[in-house]
Amino acid sequence: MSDVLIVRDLTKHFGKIKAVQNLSFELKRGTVFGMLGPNGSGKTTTLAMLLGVVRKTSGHFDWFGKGEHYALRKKIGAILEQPIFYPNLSALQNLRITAKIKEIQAVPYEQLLDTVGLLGRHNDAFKTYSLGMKQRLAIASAMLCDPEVLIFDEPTNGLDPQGIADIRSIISQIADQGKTIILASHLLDEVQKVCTDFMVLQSGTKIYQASVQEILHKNEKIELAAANMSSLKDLIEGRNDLILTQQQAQWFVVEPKEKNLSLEELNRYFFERGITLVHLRKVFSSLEQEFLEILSTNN
Amino acid sequence: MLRIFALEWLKIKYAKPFWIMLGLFVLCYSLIGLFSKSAIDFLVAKGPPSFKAFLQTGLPIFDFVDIWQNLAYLGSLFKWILGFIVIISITNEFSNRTVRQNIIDGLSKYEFLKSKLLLIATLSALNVLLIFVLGIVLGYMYSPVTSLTYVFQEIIYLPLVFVEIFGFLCLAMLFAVVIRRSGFALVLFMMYTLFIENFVTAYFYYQLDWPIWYFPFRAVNNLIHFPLSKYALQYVPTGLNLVELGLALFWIGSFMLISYRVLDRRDL
Repeated sequence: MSDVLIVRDLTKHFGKIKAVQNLSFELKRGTVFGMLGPNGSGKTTTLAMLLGVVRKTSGHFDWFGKGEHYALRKKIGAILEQPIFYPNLSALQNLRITAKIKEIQAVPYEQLLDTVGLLGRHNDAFKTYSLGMKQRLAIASAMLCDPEVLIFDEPTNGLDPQGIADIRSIISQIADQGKTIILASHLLDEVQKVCTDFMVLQSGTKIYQASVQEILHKNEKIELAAANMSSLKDLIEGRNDLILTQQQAQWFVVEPKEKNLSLEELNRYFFERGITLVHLRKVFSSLEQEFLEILSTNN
Repeated sequence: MLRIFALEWLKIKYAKPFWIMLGLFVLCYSLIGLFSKSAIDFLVAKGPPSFKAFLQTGLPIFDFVDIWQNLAYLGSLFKWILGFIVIISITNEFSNRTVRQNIIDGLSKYEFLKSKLLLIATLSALNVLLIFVLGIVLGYMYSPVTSLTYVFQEIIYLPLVFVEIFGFLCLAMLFAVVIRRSGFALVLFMMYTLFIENFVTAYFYYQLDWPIWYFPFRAVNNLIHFPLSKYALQYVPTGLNLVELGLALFWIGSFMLISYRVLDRRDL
């Protein structure tokens, strides 16, 4: 049983608005799964259905191979949108409430608060916290039950650069422990940095799904430069496995027709024909470029 | 059950407004108990002669047998304070969206409602306990008869108070769950219980000659009848009326069921 979650034809209509339509996907154990999509593409609605706070219109889902029962959520740590806590209660008092709901007996509160850097402020009321501290408390609360799955929805939204870096490093640490994570975000860079797999939602429909590695290596490009650029260009055009895609001031960008073309072989090829390369580099496309491409092909 | 109760306890334990309002309730209830006797004594001593003649010995409102009904009725004004506590405790969960996080964390909507019902039951029990303590204290202070048979003769009013307050607070819960905003829910609840239902029932009663005792607020509020007119030698029904009790229980069940249906069908 390697699927933590199976979703089949999940659909939600708010009146005439079709927020999510026939969404199906699986979540494999140990993956960090990114849900990408512009604002309003149905990410939060999907998660809210999976977490029982929004009623699905149709379709079904299956947590841990056991169905949709509410008690299964006790093994899931989740934050949707903003961190939500009792504003007048302290961090510790709030965590106690979560622990009571999730039926956890012995909680190492101090250790947990220390991990997210809230030890020292844990007796202050939640409403006095900065946004970054609220996010970190939310992460502590999500990790409370030693969950099998963690769900983060826009966890770095509204944070300053230091806050963003902190949250990402905490998420990466959790991922390194082998936990399964769903990360909903409209920040491509974020997904690229921490996710292993991702899907793209647009207007409530899944338009793409792949592993991050796969898509990053999909468009491999090579940058080349030599002292004599015109003879280099002739040689490039002489090879039918290379396509010259861009001529920049300092170098040419070529796209190999076959993947895993070795740079060593390429270097030797030009050298043997009297051209000494001064610049040779393999570049991978960023998720952002791919994402925009995916969105534009679907419009 | 215990876990749900403990959960609600964690939520109210450090909530200052809750304790202030509860303190106010206990204070008001105790004061009216202590004050009414003095007020009557004052009227008898210093009031108009006719009043004095009529009430030679003062009203026996704190004499045993009568005391339970009288105390239950006198304090019923303050149950609105308990109603506010219930409404605020529920609407806060909606406005802070903590109910949403509770559900995400693994509580069911049914359990959420149950935690609020436990709060309601606790407040009702507290009310009963307060009447019991006040009744024993005031009764032994003022009642000419103190033999145990009389003391406990009409103790049936205590469970009746429990049902009445419980039902009243369930109605408050229904308003809170349906309306969700504290201010709005508080005002509408007040309006409904104090005016709207009265106007509607007045219309049905005087214009259409309908029986009106089955309207929801009236049904749960009418278990303890206005007792004081008996001192003007009018008939006042006392004790337990099974039809009234059955009707009140029907409405209480409906309040709970509707609250659950509304909560269950709603996206949080």
